[in-house]
Amino acid sequence: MKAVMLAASIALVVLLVGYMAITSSSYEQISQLSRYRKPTMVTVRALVADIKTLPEEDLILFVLKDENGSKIYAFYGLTRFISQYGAPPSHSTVEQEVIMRGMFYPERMGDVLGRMEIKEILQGCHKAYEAPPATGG
Amino acid sequence: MRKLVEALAVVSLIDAVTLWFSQTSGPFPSVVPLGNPTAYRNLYVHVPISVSTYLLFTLGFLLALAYLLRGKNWMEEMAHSFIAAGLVMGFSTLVTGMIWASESWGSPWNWDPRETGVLFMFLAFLVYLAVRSSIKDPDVRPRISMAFAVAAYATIPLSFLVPYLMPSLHPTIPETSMFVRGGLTPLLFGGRIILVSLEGSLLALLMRSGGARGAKLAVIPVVLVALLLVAVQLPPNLSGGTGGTFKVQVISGDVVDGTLHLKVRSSQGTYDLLYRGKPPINPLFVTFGGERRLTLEKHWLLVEGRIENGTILASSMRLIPYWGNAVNSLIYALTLFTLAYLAGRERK
Repeated sequence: MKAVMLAASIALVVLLVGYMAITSSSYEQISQLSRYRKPTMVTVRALVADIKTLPEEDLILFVLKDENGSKIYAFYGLTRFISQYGAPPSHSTVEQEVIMRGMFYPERMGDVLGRMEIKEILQGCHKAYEAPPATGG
Repeated sequence: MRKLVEALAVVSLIDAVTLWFSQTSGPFPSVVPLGNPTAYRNLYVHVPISVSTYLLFTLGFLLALAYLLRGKNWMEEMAHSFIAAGLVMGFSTLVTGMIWASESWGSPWNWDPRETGVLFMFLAFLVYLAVRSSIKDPDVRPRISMAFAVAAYATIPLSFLVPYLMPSLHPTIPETSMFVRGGLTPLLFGGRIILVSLEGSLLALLMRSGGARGAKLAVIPVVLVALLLVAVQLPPNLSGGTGGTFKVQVISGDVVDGTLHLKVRSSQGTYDLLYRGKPPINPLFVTFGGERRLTLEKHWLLVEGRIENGTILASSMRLIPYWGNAVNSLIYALTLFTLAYLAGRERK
């Protein structure tokens, strides 16, 4: 019985540490970025309010927001985007909700909290499973 | 033991056939957010390995708990075998998942809550292994290590439930089952989960007794199929297109007067492509999200034909499957072979 009690005690510690590890790796909301005072690497989950293509600068500007109305400007390479997605940003290449990882620079301008240099656009695969199946080879 | 090896040989043979079929003809989602849609054939490799990992750890946990309550030595030995097999499968889960994620999520490692959960689970059981091997006293070792095995199991519900509790790139079971519901898909998907889980469990049982030299031979069909997949599916990925062969990715397109008009890109630039033959995908169009969508979008094609006035006139085309599918099949085969090798060793 002592061993079972030991197992239960360690299990509680494992559960606590695991929960902390998992929740700390979860995604931030745009409004949570307001706590940063210096450039920080962040992973945000946000709604895409607007997309602008800037061909002369080889950039795409994403205006990201959350339910609270907080916004940031996020930039990504246009050439890199096209090489990954096969086409410039559109409804078929960018979902309404996105997860992006990048360096956030806090520069508050009204309801815009700052800008982010996107390192990676992460896409969930949830929507794919709603699509009808295809076969081929 | 002989019966177990024979059962393993039969399961392995069916596994090999279904692995080949799933990776060459298995259904995949027709419209995907990112990357090559054929990457989703990893549903038939990565997911069964993951389920098998959860199952092996669960059986190991139950046997460890039973040992703590009953104290029978065979329970401890068997718990250890299941956990050791779970660790090998768990490593394979992480690697195959990373290879799939690099295409379909945009990055191989994302600190996604479930990814983090599975890594934590793997590390927790790795610590169990370290604890077990560091205690020299044979009277103390089983009780302490089994207590730790029971404790490490707390990571399983944590990693499994995460996509239900917080935003995650991983889908939930109801989301995945929306795809796995029609035609051949449920049979192939469910069948492969059962086969891989059965194979993992049989190998864990053989690891407990040891000396099962026939185990390596039994898993050879899976290894051969995986090598064949690598030989068939990797070269088109590595080819840049030569002479009258073009490697292109489909951007958009439509069918006009029976001719497929595609906008494609290659390493040389963007082209129009015309093709009158049988499309390499079925169906060619689907209605998704209220829109008519070309299912060839985002696919890489190997096209034979010629260029006239900047337009590729194609005489034949075939899909280039995502390279990671063949690599993941090989990783899976090597995982089985590793377990078979461990099962073949004589016990000290």
